[in-house]
Amino acid sequence: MTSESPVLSVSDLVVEYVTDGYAIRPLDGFCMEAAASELLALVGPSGSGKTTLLSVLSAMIPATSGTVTMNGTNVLKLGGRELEDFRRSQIGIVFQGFNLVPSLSARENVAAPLLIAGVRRGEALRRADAVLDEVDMADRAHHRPSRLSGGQQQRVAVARGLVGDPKILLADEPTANLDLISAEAVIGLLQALRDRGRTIIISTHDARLLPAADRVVEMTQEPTQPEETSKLANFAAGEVIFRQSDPSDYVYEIRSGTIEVIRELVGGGEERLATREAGNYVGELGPILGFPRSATVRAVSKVSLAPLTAHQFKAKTSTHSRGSD
Amino acid sequence: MLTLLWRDLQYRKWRVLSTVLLIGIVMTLLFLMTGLVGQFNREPFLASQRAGDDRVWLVPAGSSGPFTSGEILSAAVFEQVPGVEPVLVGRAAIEGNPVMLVGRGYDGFEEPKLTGGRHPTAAGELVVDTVTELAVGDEVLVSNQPAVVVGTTHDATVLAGLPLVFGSLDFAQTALAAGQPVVNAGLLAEAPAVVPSELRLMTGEDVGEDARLLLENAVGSITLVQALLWLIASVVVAAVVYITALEKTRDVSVLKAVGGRNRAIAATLLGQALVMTLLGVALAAVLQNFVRPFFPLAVSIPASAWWKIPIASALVALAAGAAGVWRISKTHPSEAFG
Repeated sequence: MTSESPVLSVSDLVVEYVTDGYAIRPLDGFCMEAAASELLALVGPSGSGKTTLLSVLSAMIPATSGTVTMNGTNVLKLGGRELEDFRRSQIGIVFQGFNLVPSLSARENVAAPLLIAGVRRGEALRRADAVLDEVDMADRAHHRPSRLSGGQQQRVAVARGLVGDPKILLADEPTANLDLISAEAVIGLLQALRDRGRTIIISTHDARLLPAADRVVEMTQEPTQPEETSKLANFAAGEVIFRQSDPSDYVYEIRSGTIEVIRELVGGGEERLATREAGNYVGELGPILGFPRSATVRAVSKVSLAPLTAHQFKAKTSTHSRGSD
Repeated sequence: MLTLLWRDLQYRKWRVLSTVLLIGIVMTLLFLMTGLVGQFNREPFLASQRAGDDRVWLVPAGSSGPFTSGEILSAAVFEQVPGVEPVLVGRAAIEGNPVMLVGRGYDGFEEPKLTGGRHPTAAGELVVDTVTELAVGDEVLVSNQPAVVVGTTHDATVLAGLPLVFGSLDFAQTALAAGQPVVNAGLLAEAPAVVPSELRLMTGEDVGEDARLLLENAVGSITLVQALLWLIASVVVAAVVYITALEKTRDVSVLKAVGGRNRAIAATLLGQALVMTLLGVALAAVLQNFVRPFFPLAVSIPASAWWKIPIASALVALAAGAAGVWRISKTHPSEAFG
């Protein structure tokens, strides 16, 4: 984090949505800041909330709670015309897969945000030409996307994100689908834009991008590496063993008693997915895959559980498997 | 927004051209159907004018009208009314082709207006409508009575294209009533003070309306076909616009994500629907000129159709485009993130 005052501040951000009737929270109490002239990389596995965060930052989806302040404006409070103006003037977006409009030439694609904002065609194209020059694509200005390489399309997409002269540029997987040379060129372009004073926030799986970033924000907690233990964990009836969305640590072998696997429903209710009795395992997928808990597990009766690390569990079940997550 | 609209039309040019062609064909049929209805609504009143010269008609009390009723009376009944011009109207045939023979006097009459030749001055002389394809000087048999064409006229048909043939009253009585002194109508410059009980008065409008009523079912059928053609045009436009909207889902989400308003983006889609439909109408306006001569019935497209059909088409295009607009309104900008 730089010492300058942040141009972007995200605090206690919660985003909850519904999938198949279940409440999912890709972001739960997320906090982040970004300063001017900072290139910040959001990293994490699929489902960790990178794209959800970009959608909230660009005011495309609402947050359940929390605040997102950008240049002094609480983005989450915007609506109607203010929201559209914000998207157009404060934020530039570079989408994964370029997302250029195939019927428009490169300069028309870049000018599109201005044209649909009612800027006169001549003025919009003049500004588009200037930005295309900035990304070194002036000589391809009249080509349609189908006649541009992946790297060139990504440069045009970056130019489109810059045409409104935004303070912050959001880029979703900007080097996905690009070969090494094109990816290097795009990374160099993003660094150059950062050096010219823009704040750039990228979400990525691409390790090539990380050294170029001023700061890397991990979207998921590092999987805990629990220590092996021979001590049994005991829970009374009704006691929660672990909750949905908690970081995963142990796989539990049920030595005695009965547990239930439940999932939280929208509106505060819950649904029982399964019950398990002694001799079965519970909570095995999260520790193995490094995912948060996908369900809550609660004791139905007094239970005694043997905590196993993922390694212990794999060794123990190498010849047979029982249980479920 | 015009840039987006124009570029999209260019990008999908083959689909646009196919749609314009399809709409053009449908609209050509629509123009022709409108012309047919126009002709069916215009023809009986013109026939009444050609035969009656804007005069008042006297017909037998039980008759529906001179073109639609076979009721005849002795000429003496009509001659009770001072100044009456007895008329005998009835179906006949020229060389096997059906015609409507009008027998009456011609002195002082302006109708039928001639396109060639002169009015009849003697029995056996005829003025015929040009649709008979007869020319002045042609000798013909009218219900086995020899006659010669001395004049031609136009727009003189009745009952969906049956040509009017004008001759003297004597000739008509010979051809239609074996020479009996009978008539089925009389013409007067103005309504008489007293009408004999055996007769009743009809205006030229009444006579035209009576003949028009006979075609009402045909007009109703054509109107139904017109409605179906509008439906086809609407479905074509709606389907094309909706498919385009589906294809553009990603583009729309991107445009929304960069600040585009629903209204502005929808306008480009509706603009496409309007352009395709109005180009189709323009194509139809040209195509109908080539098809009309091959149509077996006269087609008379009312002047109002030239502005009503484009306006109605524009409204249909906008309504048909609503499905695509609905699809666009459902597209969320966050879909651009994939």
